[in-house]
Amino acid sequence: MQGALEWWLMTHPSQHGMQISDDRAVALKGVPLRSVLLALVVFYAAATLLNGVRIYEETSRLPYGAWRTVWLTMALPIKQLSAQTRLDRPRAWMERHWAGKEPEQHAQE
Amino acid sequence: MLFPTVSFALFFMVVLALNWALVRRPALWAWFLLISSWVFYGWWDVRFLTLLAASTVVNHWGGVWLYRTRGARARHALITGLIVFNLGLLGFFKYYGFFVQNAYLLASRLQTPCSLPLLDVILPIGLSFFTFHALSYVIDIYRGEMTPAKHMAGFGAYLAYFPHLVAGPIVRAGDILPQIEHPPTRLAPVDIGRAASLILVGLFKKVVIANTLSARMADPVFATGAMHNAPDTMLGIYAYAIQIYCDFSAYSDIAIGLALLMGLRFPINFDAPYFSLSLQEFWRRWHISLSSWLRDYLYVPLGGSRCAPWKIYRNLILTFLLGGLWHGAAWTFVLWGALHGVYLVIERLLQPFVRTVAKGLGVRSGATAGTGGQGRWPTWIAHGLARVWLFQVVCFAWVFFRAPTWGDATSLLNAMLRWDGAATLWTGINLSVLAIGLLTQFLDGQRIARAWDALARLPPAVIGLIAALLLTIILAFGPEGVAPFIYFQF
Repeated sequence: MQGALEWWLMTHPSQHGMQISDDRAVALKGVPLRSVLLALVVFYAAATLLNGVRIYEETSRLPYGAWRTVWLTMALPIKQLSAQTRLDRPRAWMERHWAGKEPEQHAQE
Repeated sequence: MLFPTVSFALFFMVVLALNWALVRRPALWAWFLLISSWVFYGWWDVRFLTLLAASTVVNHWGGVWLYRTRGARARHALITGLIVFNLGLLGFFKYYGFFVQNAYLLASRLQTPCSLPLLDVILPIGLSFFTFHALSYVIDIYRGEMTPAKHMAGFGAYLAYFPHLVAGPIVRAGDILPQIEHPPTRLAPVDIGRAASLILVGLFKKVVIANTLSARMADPVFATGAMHNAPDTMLGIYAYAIQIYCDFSAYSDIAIGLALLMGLRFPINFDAPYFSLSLQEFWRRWHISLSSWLRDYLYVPLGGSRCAPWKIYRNLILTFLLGGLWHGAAWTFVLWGALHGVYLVIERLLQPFVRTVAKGLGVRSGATAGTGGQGRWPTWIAHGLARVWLFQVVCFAWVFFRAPTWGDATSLLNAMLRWDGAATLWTGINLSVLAIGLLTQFLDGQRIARAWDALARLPPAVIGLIAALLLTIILAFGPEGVAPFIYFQF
């Protein structure tokens, strides 16, 4: 273990002394902005659908008031879409079988 | 608005879209960064914005004035005024209550009257961080190391930029201001592989590891220290050591990743600190932005290491005492800082002896340790022992950092002497989370740069899908609710 750690630290330098201004080579790495925005759109859409039911549950825990009503109104169609497409199932399954969490009342509605 | 929340996700979605829409107009873009950061900050409490705005105006115009002033005495008076202003803000909002409490305590001991007013001062979130940002800015201008920001919006955006505003890293104006004044073009590539990895690793460290360690081990032990026996107490302290690393480095990782997506680059803040071989190395790897700030603006001006030995020791202890106090207005933080100062002094004193012993045993230095051949095994054993020893020493200091009072810290240390009863915290799952938390240090710095590049080479839609799936797994494994980041209180 110790040998592996030494090997890793030697072969994977952290370069933490590197200055931002000297970081030309790293700064030029990356993908075009268009690809980044596409990745983010897909990420937001997929993450919303995969977690739609949980988002609604989290929102329902907000203190009562106008703010909560607005958030719940926004979260309800997301929850319904997530449930209808069954994309909420993977997270519910992982929580029940891997993380040992009990399903909430809202999830069963 | 905490990072791992739906409200922040929505906020960031809007900010990111507008960021790239406005990037072609630098002046407007700087104002946009400033306003969006103020919205982020005002989300906690709108009243805090007054303080941030005051700091922005005073330090911006102070910096400009300082730059234009030629006379040495006038410049000296000006920088003194700016330092007093910034430390005055920090002193009043962060330390007033602590100072008054101790003044009353001292007065009662001396049986003299004390008439200081008792005020209920609220500590604005992130005050310690933006004060240090402002101080480094004006001091760098005074030293002639940089020119002031061209516009107040640029300086305001640097000071309040939301990824680093409430819990660092403490980025230098010399690194960030040029990036704000010369924004990235839309044609410049964005390092999405690194940004996505940092954000996801940060969320994993915070939501899964730090929150689990806190809920299952650290909080129970520190809440009822006297009720636990030695093995459980020890595990609780280890858990806190890993928790604070995962919590704080997670915030830094997410901040760096978010800034990258917006086209700005921050320096790294953590670099596998618990793999260090010495305390000196630990402070080069832990909260790098704070330790380098303390080095440049406190330790070096005090004389640094280029003076008589007793002065070096004084400088070290003083720097760490103040570094401890920076973390919070309590004697436990001062003691934590003092302990680190004393550790470093002892380490310096023992250095010649350790070198002689190491040479005698055939142990190689850190730089050549990985090369094969003669002396490999003694080196590995010595380095392993050094790492284990360092972790114990750092954990001992964490007791004072985490315990709310001196009494709590001592009762926890007393519990370390109790060997009766069964150890209830040494379960497989607790030890696994602890080990995974420790191993996340392998992800620090540039060590997984190849993985970032591999991720960036995938089609954009696939990157988005992978990130969404990983986020879902992280959220499924994390405990219920979102605990605030530990460093928010500082």
